[in-house]
Amino acid sequence: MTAFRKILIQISRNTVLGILPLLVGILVALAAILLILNNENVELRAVYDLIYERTLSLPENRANVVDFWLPILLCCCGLLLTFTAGLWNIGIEGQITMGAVGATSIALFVELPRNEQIFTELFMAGAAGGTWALFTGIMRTRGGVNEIFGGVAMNFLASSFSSYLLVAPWSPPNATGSATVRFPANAILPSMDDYRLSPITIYITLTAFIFVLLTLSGSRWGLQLRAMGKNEKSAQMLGVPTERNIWLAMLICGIMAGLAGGHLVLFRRANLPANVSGGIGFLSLLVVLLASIRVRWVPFVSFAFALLYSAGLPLRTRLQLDASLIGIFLGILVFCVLIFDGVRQRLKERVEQRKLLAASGGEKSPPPSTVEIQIGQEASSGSGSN
Amino acid sequence: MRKRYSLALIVVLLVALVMGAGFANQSKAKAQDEFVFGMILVGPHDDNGWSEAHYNGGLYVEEHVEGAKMIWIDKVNPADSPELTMDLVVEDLVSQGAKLIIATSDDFKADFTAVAPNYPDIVFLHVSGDGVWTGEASENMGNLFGQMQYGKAIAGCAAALKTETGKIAYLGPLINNETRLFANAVYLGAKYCYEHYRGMDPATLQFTVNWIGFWFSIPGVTLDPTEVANAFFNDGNDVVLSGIDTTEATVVAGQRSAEGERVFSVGYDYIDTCAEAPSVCLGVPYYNWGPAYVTTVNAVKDGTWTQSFDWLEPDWSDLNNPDTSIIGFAKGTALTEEEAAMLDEYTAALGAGAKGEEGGVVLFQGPLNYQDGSTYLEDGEVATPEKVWYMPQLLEGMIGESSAESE
Repeated sequence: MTAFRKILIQISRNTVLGILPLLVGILVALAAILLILNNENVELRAVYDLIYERTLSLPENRANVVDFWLPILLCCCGLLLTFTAGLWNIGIEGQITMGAVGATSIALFVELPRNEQIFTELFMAGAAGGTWALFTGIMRTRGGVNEIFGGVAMNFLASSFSSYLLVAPWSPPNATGSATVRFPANAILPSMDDYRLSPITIYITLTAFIFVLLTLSGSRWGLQLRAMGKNEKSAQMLGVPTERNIWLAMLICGIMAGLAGGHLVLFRRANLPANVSGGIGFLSLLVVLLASIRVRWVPFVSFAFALLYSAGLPLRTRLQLDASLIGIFLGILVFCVLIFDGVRQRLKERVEQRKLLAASGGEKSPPPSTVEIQIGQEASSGSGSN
Repeated sequence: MRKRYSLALIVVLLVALVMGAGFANQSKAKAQDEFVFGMILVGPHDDNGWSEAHYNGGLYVEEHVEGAKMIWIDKVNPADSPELTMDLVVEDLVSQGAKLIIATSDDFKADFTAVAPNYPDIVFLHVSGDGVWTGEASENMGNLFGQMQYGKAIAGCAAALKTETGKIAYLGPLINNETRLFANAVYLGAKYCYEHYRGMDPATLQFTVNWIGFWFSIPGVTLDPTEVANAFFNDGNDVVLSGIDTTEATVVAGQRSAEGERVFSVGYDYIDTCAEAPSVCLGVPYYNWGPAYVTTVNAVKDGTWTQSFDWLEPDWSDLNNPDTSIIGFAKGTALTEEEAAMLDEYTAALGAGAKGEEGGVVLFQGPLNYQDGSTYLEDGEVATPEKVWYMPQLLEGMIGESSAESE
C-alpha cells in the first residue's frame, strides 16, 4: 500500500467517523425544513435573507439576538454544573418561573432606592430559583425521588403557582389577564443607551460563565462533580461528599436559572406574563446536550440557537409562517443532529471493538491505523474533557 | 478532538447559512403610493372568531384603499409566542414600513401604551382600549371599538326566545370592564325578551356566567372552554352564549345536538361562526372592522389623523351593512321565523332607544342594581358612556363572579 493511499484511507475514515454523520444530520434537517417550506410556498433563500437581515445586519438587531442569548447562556451555565455531576435538571423551567415570580414580588410591592431595588429584585430571583432547585436536590438525596421526576413535578407546581398569582392576587385591578400590570420604571433593569441590552445581565452572565469554566476546568470541586458524573457511587466510596455536591450544584444552577427568569420579567417584559419561561429552560438543556457538556462550546451553540430563535418574528411577519413552524424547525435540527451524533458514536465504538479484536487476534490482524490509535486515545481520555 | 471539529462545523454552518444570506438582494422597491399598516392579532388569523374578524377588516382596507398593504402577525400571546414582546413586534412592523399599527386586543393595552411614545411618527390604534379616555395614551395613539353591547343584547334576546328550561349560560373570557359590560348586556337583552316576548317572569330566568380566564383556551393556564360549555349543558342550560374569541360553545352544542339533545348556542365576533354548527346556532353578534379601519387608514395616509376615542354605534338603519356598520347580528337558522321576527322587533326597539326615539328600548336604564345589591342606575336614569364602559360588577340577578378578587 502506498503512502498516498494510506493517507486517503485515513482521511476517509476520519470523515466517516467524525464529520460526515453530523453533516448528514444537518443536511437531513435542512431537507426536512425545505420540504415544509415548499409546502408553505416559501423559498429557502428568502428565509436565509430574512434571518440575516433581521438578526445580524444591523446593530439593534444584533442586540436583540444577544438579549435572547443571555438568559439561555445563563441557564446553560447552571446546567453545565448539574450535567457534569450526572444530574438531569429538567426542573429548570420551574426554576426560571420561580425566579421571575421572586423578582416580581419585589418589583410590584416594594419600593426602594434604585440600586437597592434592583439588587433586592435580583436577589429574590436568584433565591427563589435556587430554593426551587434545592428542593429537587433534597428530594433526590433524602427522598429517593429521581431529579427528573422531581423536576417535572416542580415545573408543574411553579407553572400552576404562577398562573394562580395572575388569576387572583397579582391580577390587574378589578380584572384578570395574561400578565400583571407593568412594573414601575424604578423596578426595571437599566438599559444601554443605544441598544436594548441590560449591562447588569451581561455582567451576571459573564461572571457565571467564567465561574463555571474555572470550576469545571481546574477546581477540585469540578473534579468531584466530574467523578460523580462518571459514577456517583464510586465517587462517594472514594470520599466525595456527593449529597452536599448535589445540593450545591442544584442550588447554583437554580440561582442562575432564577436570575434568567429575573431578566425576563425585569428587562424584557417589564411584567410577569403567563408562561414566563417560554421553553428557554428546555432549549438550554438541548444546547448543553448538543455541546456534549463542553463549557467552551456552550456559548457558540447557544448563540446559534438564539439567532435562529430570534429570527422567528420576521419569518412570521414577512413570510407569514405559522408560529409553531419556527419551533418545529429548531426541533428538527436538534433531533437530526442528536440522532446522527448517536450514529457517529456507534461507528466510533465499532472501530474500537475492531481494534480490540485485532489486538487479541494475533498476527492475522493488520496493525491499527493512526486514526484508530487517535480514536482509542480520545475514548480513554473521557468524553467530558475540555 | 474530532468531536470538537464536528461541533465547530455545526456552529459554523448555522452561522454561515445565515451570514451567506446577506449577499442576496435585500432591497425591494416599494410602490410609491404604497401605504403599509401593521396588524397585531392575539389569536390565529383564521380562528373563526375575534382575530379573523380583524384580519378580514385588514383585507377590506387593502380592497378599498388604493396602495394599502397589510402586514400582520397573529398568535401574539404568552402561550403561542412567549418569546415575543410588544417592543420587538412593533420594531419589526416599523422596519417593514408600517405607518399605522393596529393592536387588536385588550391584552395588549399596557405594552402597546408603553411602546407608542417611542415612535412618535407612527400612529398606534388600540382596539378595545381606553387609553385616550384615561389620558394614558400618548398623542400618537387612538382607541377604536364598536358598541357591541347592542349585539350582545340581541344575542341574549335570541337565547331567551329559545330556552325551554329557563336556564341560559354565558361562556366568559377573562374579567374586565369590557367583558362585564357584555355579560350584563346579554343578561338585560335576555331578561327583556323573556318577559316581553315569552310572557315569563324574568326573575325565574337563570343566567349563569363562568369565566375561563383568557380570550381563548391556553392549556394549563385557563379553564378548558369545551369542558365549561359541556358543564353548562350538563347543568340544564339549554342555550350557551359565547363571550370568548373562539367557537367552542357552538361546536359543543352541535355535538350534543347530534346526540339528540335540545341545545343551542349563540356565537361571538365573527360573521360566519354559525357555519360550525348551523342547526344549533341562534345567531352571532359580530364585528365588521373594515369600514372603521378604512377611515383610520385614510386619515393617517392623508395626514389628517388626530387622536380620538371612537366607540362606534351600529348602523341602525341597516345593521348588517358591510360598508357602514361596525356591529352586526347574523341570525342563525336555528331560529324559527316567528322568533326571528321577534328578534327583529327587539333590534328595532334597541335602535330606537339608542337614538332616543320614543318607544325605544334603552339598554342601560334604571332601576338597575349591581350583583351585591348596590345601586347602578336609579329609577329612570340612563347610563352615561362612562357608566356603561366602567361597570365594576355583574348585575343583580346574574350568577357568577364579578371580579378576580371574589374568586
